[in-house]
Amino acid sequence: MARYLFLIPILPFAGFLVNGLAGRRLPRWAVSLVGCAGPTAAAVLAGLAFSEVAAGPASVLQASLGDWIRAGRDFHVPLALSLDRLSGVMALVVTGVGTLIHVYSIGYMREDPGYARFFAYLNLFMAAMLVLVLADNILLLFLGWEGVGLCSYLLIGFWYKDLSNCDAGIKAFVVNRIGDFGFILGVFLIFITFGTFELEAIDSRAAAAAARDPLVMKAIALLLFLGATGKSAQIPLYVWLPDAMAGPTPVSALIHAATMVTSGVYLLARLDQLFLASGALPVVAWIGALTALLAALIALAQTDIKKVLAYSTVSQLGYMFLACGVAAFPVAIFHLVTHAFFKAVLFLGAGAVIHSLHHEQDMRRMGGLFRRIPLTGAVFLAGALALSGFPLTSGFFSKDEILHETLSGGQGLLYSVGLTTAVLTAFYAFRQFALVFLGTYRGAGAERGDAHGGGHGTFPPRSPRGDEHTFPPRSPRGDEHTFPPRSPRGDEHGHGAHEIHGSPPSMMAPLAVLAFLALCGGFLAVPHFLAGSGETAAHAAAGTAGAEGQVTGWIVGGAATVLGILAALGLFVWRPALRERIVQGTAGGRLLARLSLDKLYVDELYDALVVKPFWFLSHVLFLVIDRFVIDFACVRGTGLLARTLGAALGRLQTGKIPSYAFYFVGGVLVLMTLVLWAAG
Amino acid sequence: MNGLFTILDAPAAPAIGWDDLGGILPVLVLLATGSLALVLDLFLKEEASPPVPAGKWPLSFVSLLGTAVAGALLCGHIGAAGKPWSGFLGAVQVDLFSDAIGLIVVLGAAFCLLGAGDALRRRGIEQGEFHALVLYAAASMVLFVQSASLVMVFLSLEALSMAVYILTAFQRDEKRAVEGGLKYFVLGGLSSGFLLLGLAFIYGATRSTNLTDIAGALAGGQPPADSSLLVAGLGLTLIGLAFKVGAFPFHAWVPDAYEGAMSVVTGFMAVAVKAASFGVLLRVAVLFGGAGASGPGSPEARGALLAGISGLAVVTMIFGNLAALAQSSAKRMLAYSAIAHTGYLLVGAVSAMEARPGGEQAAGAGLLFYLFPYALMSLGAFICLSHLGEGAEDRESIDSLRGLAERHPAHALALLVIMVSFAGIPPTAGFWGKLFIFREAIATGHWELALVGILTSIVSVYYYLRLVVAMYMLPQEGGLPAPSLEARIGGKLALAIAAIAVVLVGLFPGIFFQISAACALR
Amino acid sequence: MTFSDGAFWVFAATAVLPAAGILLSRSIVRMAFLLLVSLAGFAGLYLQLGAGFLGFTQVLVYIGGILILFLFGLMLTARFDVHVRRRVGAGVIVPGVIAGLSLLGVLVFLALESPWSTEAGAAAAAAGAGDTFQIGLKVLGPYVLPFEAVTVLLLVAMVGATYIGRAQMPGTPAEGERKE
Repeated sequence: MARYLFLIPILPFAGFLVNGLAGRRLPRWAVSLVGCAGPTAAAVLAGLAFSEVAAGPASVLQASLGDWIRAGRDFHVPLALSLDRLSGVMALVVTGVGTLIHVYSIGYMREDPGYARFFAYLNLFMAAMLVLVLADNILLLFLGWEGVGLCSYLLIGFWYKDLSNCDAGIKAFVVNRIGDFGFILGVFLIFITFGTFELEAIDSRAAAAAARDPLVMKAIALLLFLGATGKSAQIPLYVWLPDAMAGPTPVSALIHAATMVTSGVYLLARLDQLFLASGALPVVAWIGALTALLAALIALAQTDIKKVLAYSTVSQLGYMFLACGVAAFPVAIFHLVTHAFFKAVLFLGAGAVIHSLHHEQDMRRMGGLFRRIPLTGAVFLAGALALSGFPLTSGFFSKDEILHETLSGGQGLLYSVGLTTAVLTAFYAFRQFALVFLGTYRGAGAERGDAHGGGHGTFPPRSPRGDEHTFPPRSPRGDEHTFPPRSPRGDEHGHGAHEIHGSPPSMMAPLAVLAFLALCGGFLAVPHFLAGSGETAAHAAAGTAGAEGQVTGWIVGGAATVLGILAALGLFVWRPALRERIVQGTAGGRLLARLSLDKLYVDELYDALVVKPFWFLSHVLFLVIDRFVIDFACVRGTGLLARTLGAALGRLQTGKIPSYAFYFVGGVLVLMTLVLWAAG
Repeated sequence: MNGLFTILDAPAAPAIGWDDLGGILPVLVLLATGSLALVLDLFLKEEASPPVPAGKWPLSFVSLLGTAVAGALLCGHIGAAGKPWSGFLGAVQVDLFSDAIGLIVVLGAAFCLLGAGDALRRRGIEQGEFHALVLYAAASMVLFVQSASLVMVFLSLEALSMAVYILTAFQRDEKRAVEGGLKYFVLGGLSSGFLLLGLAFIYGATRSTNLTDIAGALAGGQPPADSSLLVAGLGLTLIGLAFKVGAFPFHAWVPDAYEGAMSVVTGFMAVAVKAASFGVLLRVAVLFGGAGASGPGSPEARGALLAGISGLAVVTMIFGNLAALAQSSAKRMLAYSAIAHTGYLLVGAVSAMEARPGGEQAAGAGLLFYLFPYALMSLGAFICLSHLGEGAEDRESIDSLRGLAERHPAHALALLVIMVSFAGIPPTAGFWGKLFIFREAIATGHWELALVGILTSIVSVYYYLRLVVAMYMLPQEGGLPAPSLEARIGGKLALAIAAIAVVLVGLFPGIFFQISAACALR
Repeated sequence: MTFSDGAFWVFAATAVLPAAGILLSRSIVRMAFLLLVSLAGFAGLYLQLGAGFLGFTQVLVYIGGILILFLFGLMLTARFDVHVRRRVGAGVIVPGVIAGLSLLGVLVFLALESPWSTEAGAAAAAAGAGDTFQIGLKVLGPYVLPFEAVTVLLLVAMVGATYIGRAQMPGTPAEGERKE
C-alpha cells in the first residue's frame, strides 16, 4: 500500500490539471466526473491505507520519491509521505468530507460560468491539503500549508468580478502571511536546533532539546503556534475567516470549516511532544478558550446566515486549541473530526437554503422555511444539534471530552469559559435555526401575496453577495431586491424559476450522509484510537482514570446545551416580545446586541492600530524611497544618461559607406596597434 | 618538356576517397538540396495572383527536409561522440565542436525556411533562389567551421558571405533591402581584403596553410619563424572575423543590413553567420593563443589575441547596449542587441583561451551553450517581427507593437518570453547563458570582462522590457492601422518552437550545458 | 643596383602609379585603363618572383578577361565616358590621409620588423613550386576541396547575380504599377 501513498495527493492534482487546462472545452458532465473522480479515488486509497495502519498499533506507511531539495551535505529534504494513525484520520476526513462536498458542488455550482475553474481549484486544494496532512517533513508540510492558502485565496475571490470578494481574498492572504512568517521562522529554528526537517525525528528529540535549551523550544512552539493562529483563525488573526465567506458556500464548508482551518490544530497534534516539552501550552489553551468565547459572543447577533457559521467555526476551533492547550491532543482531533461533520452539514445546509432562496443570505428575510424545504431543515437541525452539543450527538461527546479534560487538568477557569461558550453556542445555533426555519417567512414579497404573479420577474444575474458585513439594512419588503414576488403559500411543485425550491439530489445526498455522521459520529472512539497509537499513551491513561468524572461532565454539559437551546427557542420562537424588551429596553441588552452585531469592533481596532499606521508608513516610504531615490535618482537619471549616450552613438550610423569604411580602417589601426603592442 | 611523362611517372598521390566525401556528408546534403530547390522551382507553376494561400509548399518541404537530414547527420555524429576526423588531405577537420556549431547553423537555416514562406509569399517573391541561397549559405558555413586550412577558411567564408549578401538584398525592389545588401557587400569586400592579408601573413610566418600542422608545430615547441608577422596576421584575421560577427568598430554594416533584410533573413544572419564565424574565431584563438598543455606555443600570439579579443569584447558590449537604448525601431534595436550579444560571446572566447587541454574546463563550453539559446531567441524574435507586417513591409517600430497583447496574445506571449530571456532574467535560457559565460570569465581571472558584461546586461533590461511594456501596457496608437498578422502554420510553428525551447532550456539548463561541454574544443 | 633591382622598380612603379591615378581620375574609362596597366605591373612582379603560372594567369584572366569584360559592360550599359562626380571635402581627406598613412606605417613596420627569410622561398622556387605541373598536382591533391569550394562560391554568385539582375518576376506587377 505504501507504494500507492503518493497517488492520494496526485489523483486530485491530476483532476486539477485536466480541469484547469482543458476544463473550458469539456462538457459539464465531464468536468463533474473528472472533478469528483480524483477525490473519490483518493478517499478509497486513503481508506485502504488507513485500514492497514489501523490493524497494527504503531504501524506507519511511508513512501519516498527521493530527494526534493538537496543543498550541501547536511541540507536535504526528501519528497516523502507517511501515514500513521493521526494523519490517517485526517486524510480520511479530508478525502471523505471533501468528496461529499465535491458531489454537493455539482448541484450548487451548476449554473456558474466558472464551473470548471471551480472544480480545478477545489481539486488543487484537495491535493495541497493531502500533501499537508501526509507530509513526512515540515518543509513538505509547509508546501501543502502554502498550497491550501493559495487555494483559499483563489476560492474566496472566486467571483473575482466583485471587488469586495477580491478584497476578502487579499485580507485572508495578508493575515495568513503574518502567521506564515512565524511558521517560517519556526521552521528555521527547528532546522538549526534539530538539524532535520523530519516530523517524527523532531517530535522524538523535542524533550531532550527542551532540557538543553528551553527558551529556543518555547520560541519554536510559539512561532509555530503563530502560524497556526493564522491558518486556524485564532486571536489575534481570526479576522480573515468571516470575510472569507465571500467564496462559494461549498468552499466555506470544505476549506473554511472542515479542513484547511483545522490544519493549525493538526500541526499542534503532529508535533505534540514538541509542544508538550516546550511549556507553551498554557498560551495555546488561553488563546483557544478566549477565541471560543469571543467568537461565540459575536455569533450571537449576526444576521448573515454564513457569518454566524463563520464565527461559530472560529469558536469551535478555539475549543480545539483549548484541548491542545490542556495536552489532550487526541481529543482535539476528535473534535476536529466531529466538527468537520457537523459544520459541513451546517454550511452545506445553509448553502442549500441560499440556493433555494436564490442567493439570499440575510436571516432577517427568512423564516418558516421548515415547511417549504423540510429535508434541508431536517439536516440543518441535525447539524445545529451537534453544534450545540445536544446529548448523544457527535458534538456532545467531543465537546464534553474537551471540557472534561480541561477540568481534570485542574483548569477551573478555563473550564468555566468553555462551559459558558457551550451555552452561548447552543443559543446562537438555535437562534439561527429559529430565524431560518421557524416562524413565518419574512422574505421579499412575503406580504404581497400573488399581486405580481409568479415567474415573470427579472431575476438578477448570479452576482454573489460579497460584502456581507456591511449589509445595508433593507426594508423587510425588500423593494430594492428584485426577488420575484411569490406567495409563501404558493405550491411547492410549481415550476416557476424563482420560487423557493428544493435542492437537487446531488446536493441532498451528501447532506444526508453528513447529517448522519454529525448525529452519530460521536461514537467513533477517535481519542482512544489515536492514543492507542502510542503517541500520547501517558495521556490516554489519565483519560480513562477519570471515567466516573465523565458522567458528571456529561450531565453538566448536556444541561448547558439544553439551557442554551431553550433560551434561544424561547426568545426567538415562543416569546419574541420578551426578546424585544431585553434588547431594546435594557441598557445592557442594547450594548450587548450592538457589540455583538458589530463584532466587538475588532476590525476597527485593527484598522486603527495596524492598518492605518502601516499604510501611513508605507506611503512615506513610497514617496521618499520609491519616488525620489529609485525613480528619480536611479531609474530616470541613469536611464537618461544612457539614452543620451546611446543617441550620440547612434549618430555615428550615418548610412554612408565611406564613413563606415572610415570607422573600419580606424578600427583596424587601433586594433593592430593594440595587438602588436600586446605582443611586445 | 617532359610534363606528360612526369605525370604518368608521378608517385601515387595520397588518395582522396569515399571516406572524405562521407565526412562532409551534411555539407553535401545541404548543397544538393539547394540545387534541388533551384531545379524544383522550374516545375512549380506561378500562381496568378499573390498572395497564394499554399504557395510553393514543395520548395519549403524539400529544403526543410534537407536541413532535417543534415541536422540528423550532425546530431548522429555528436551522439556517437566521434573522434576528430581530418579529411581531404587535411583541408577539413570534423570534430564535435564543428558538429555543434554546424547544428546551430542548420537550426538557423531550418527556422529561416520555416518562417520564410509567409514573408516571401506576401512580397510575391517566393522563388527557389531563396531556398537555394539559404541552403548554400548553410553548407558554406558548415564547411567554414570545418575548415582546417587557411585557404578553406577564406573560400568558404567568401561563399557564405556572397550568399548572405544576396539574401540581404533578396527583396530586390525594396530600396532599403538593396541598400543594406550593397553596404554589406562593399564593407564585406573591405574586410575580406584584410582577412586575406592576415591569412597570407600567417602563411608567411608559419610556411603552412594547414591549421592542424601549424598548431602541431607550435605545440611542439617550434616557434614561428617570424612572430611579429604571425601576430599581425592574426590581428588582421581577427579583424576579418570581427567584421562577420559584428563587433565594434567593425559593426557598421549590422544595423543597416539587419534592418534592410527581411526579418527571417535577419534572424538567419544573426544566428548562422555569427555562430559559424564564432566557431572559426574560437578555433583560431585557441589554436594560436590557447593556454596550451605546456604553455602557449607562441606567447606573443597569445598576448596579442587576448588583448585584441578582450578589447573588442569590452567596447562591443558597451557600444551595442548603449546604442540599442536609443532605437525606436524594434528591428534596429534587435540589431544593436545582436552587437551586444557578440560582445558577450567574445567574453566567452577569451575565457576559452584560458582553458588548458585536458584540464577541467573545456574551452568554449560557455560560448557554445550561449549560442544555442541566443539562436532560439534571435530566430524567434525576428520571425515574430516578420509576422507583424503587411505586403512588402514589415511593421517594426516599437510603437507598432503597442497593444499587441490584446490583438495577438500568443505572439505577444512568445515575444515576452524571448525578451525576458534576452534580458537574462532567470529562469530563462538567456539567464543561464550569461551566467555560464560570466562565470567562466571570472573563473579564468577575467573578472573585469564579467563586470562590464553584467553592468551592460543591466542596461539591456531597459530596452528589452520596452518592447514588453509596449505590448502589454500601452494602448494601441490611434493613427496607426493595426498591423495584420499574416502567418501560416510554418511561421507560427517556428515561433512556438523557439519560445517553448527558450523556456525548456531555461528549466533544464544542465543537459544542454553537458552537451556543450562535451562538444567544446579539446 | 642589379638588373633585377631595376626591373623590380619598374614593375613596382607600373603597379603603384596607375593605382594612384585611379584615385585621382574622374573618368571611369580612364580608370579602367589605368587599372589594366596596374595589373600588368603586378603580373611583372609575379614573374620576377618566379611565380610564372600566377603571372601569366594574371595577364590572361584579369587583363585579358575581367578587365575587357568590364570595359564592354561599361560601353554597353552607359555612355562611353562617365565622369564620376566627387565632392570631397577636407573632412574626408584629412582623416583619410591620416588613416592611410597610419596603415602604411603599420605595414612598413611589419616589413622592417620581419626577418623575411629567403631560404624557404628559394628552396620552393628551386623545387618548381611555382610551375604549372606542381600547381596542378596540388589543386587535385590537398587543395581539391578548396577548389570545389570555389565552385560553390561561383555558383552562389551566379544564382545571386541572375536573381538580382532579373528585372521583374513574371507574376508580379511592375514597381510603377503597384503604386497606383
